[in-house]
Amino acid sequence: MARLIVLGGGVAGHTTATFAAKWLGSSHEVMVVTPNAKWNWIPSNIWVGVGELSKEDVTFDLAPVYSKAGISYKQAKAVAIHPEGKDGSDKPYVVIEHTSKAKAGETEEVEYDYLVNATGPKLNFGATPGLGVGSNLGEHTVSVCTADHAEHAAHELKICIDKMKSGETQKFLIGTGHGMCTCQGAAFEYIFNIEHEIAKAGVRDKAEIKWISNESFLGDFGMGGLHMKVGGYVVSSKLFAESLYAERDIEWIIGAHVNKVESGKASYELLDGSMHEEEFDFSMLIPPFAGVGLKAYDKAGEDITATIFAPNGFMKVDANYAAGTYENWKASDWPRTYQNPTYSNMFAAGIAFAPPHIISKPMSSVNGTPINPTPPRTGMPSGIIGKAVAHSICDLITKGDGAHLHEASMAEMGAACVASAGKGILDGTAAAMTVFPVVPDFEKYPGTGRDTEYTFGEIGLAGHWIKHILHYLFMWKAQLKPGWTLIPE
Amino acid sequence: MIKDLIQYPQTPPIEFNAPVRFFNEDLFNLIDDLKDTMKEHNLNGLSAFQIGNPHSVIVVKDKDNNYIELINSRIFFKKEKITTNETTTYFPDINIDIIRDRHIKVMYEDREGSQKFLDASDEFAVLIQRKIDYNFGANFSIRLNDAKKEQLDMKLEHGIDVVIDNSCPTNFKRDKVLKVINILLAISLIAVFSKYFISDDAIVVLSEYLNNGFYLISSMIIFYTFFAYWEGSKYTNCMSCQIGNIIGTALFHFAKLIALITLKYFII
Repeated sequence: MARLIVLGGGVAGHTTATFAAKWLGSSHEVMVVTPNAKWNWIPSNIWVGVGELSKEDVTFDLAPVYSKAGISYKQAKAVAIHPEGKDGSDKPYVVIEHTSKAKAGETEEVEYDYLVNATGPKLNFGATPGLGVGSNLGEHTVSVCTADHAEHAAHELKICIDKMKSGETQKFLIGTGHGMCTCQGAAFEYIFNIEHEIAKAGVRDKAEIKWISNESFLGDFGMGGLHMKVGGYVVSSKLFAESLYAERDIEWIIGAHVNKVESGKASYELLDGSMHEEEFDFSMLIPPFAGVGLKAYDKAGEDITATIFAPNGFMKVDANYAAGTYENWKASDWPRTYQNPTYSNMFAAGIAFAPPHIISKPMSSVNGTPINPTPPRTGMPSGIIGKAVAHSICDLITKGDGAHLHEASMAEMGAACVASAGKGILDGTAAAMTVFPVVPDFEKYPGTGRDTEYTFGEIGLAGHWIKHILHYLFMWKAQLKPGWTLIPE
Repeated sequence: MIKDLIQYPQTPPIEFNAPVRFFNEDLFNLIDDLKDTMKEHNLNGLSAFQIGNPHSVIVVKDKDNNYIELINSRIFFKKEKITTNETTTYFPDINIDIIRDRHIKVMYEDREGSQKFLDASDEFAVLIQRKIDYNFGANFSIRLNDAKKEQLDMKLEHGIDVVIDNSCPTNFKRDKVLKVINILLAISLIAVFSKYFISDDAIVVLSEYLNNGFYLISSMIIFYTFFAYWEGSKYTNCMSCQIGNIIGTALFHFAKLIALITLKYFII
């Protein structure tokens, strides 16, 4: 009997574990190690953050679901990987530290045959002074990265709306809290949902809403922007976004690295090196992501973290990490199997894999501060990668070491994104976009590197309904309810 | 080499421009072509898109008539909105009011690939904004709201200036009434079929509610007809076509209501 350990129970980890358990059956063991007791459908956190959904609407307990699926479950965080085992045993193992109330702080060594690192990101609030400490959110801003954060954000938003109702003007600053952030899409959704809620409350005239981000143009989204077919015409995401911001009366600051947050004030550096400040009454700034800080040791106990992980803490996989400068970047630099090049029984999925380079054109300020979005690996790509990795490991277990590994390159994968711009059955809006491929392939599609036949978008009420339906579909799928395998990633 | 300028109604051979990745002889030739074309047509600025080239390259003339080559340009700072009356080579002889930024800061690369910055204000800033729009595959029409865009289309199609105060709006309040009517019709339809899932007692109550609902819907269609006529009368230039539209819409919704009543008669 082989044991597969999946570190992390987010979109990628949950997908890997549930499919592996289904395909392997009871003849092999699948174990999930995740510090959280609940699964969270993160894309809907933005609705929790405006008070339209509750925390319970976007989460569920993992234990009963894993019990039903025959998956072993440990509520713990991984601390260190020992891929060569230790003195007296060649069996690789992972050191975990329990996080459940009953066992908090206890450590344990768990042996594995195959390991998937799907730990997701460390929310690196500490990278920006004042934004937080380590992975903990600070006191000056709010966040929608977790359901708890989002609940807190909704509470703070309500206070601001109450103030506006009593005649006060409030300043809102939403966007990215560092020059190297990703996930502009979540901030994009949140700013428009806030605007929608404020307008619904009848106090739009009392709100000054401003966007701040590390994108070099509005609509970059960490993918270098995209050109999509809208109503038969090809429209740039830049012009699409600018029109939307102008229509909703939202100002924007771009090319910004937020370098300090204080009470009611964010300081930032622009691409020309100039320093500025922006005041706010309410601010949601996405933190940069980093690896969760897993360590790795060889059999002799020597630290081999730098061999297994990239400097940003994400796990190295079968990518080309020596691609060089922007003009040399190729689609083939991106990983296909997500297998660690040093230890073939280790894989990474979702945000946890180290991308070979960013997707957008690299930018830095005259002071040398990098100011560009890092590549998005969330949502649909995470799920697809998780499933491909599960497939590969199942084949390795059942067919042997020579089994063909399944591939899911982001340079050959399309993605669909439905970005909410306001919740409401009759007055909601969302921008639905597809992009193909996620990572531009300049050789296959000369020019922007994408196929405009499969890259299109629309904004409207129908988009909101799709987003709403997707919420229920993915909650259903993640809970492994009947027909869950029929719902695509 | 002087290149042909793409003008309406000619469709650009490309849909948008891509970032320049290679700073080589091809790029230098493109920049020379842009300058030659600008000289020939006495232009202050030109985007590669306007001569059908798929790269993010712009050449503009500053106030001293020096050529500035902007490669992979981005506007990362803007201040103060202004309304400018613009024309462009793509739509010769058409002027349109557009809202732009008065002061901008642009980051770009020169022909060596070195990162540079440029502050621009007033006309020069507007010129750069227009050219960057082309870089992203759009002419100034992208900056217009739906009503103005419709007016531009009319002008291009018929050659007449229909930009007058009393032109038809694209959105009427009457459309909201129509929306409510459609929602009520949809709810009633679902209610008719819910007969198969409820008790006999509940069917009696449902039938009563549906009858009241039908009265309400028919009243709303009548209200819609008069309200729409009154609202449309404020826009004299488009009244004739509106009357046909209003009557047609009202009849169509009455037909839907009758069909629903018939369905209810046979099912419940």
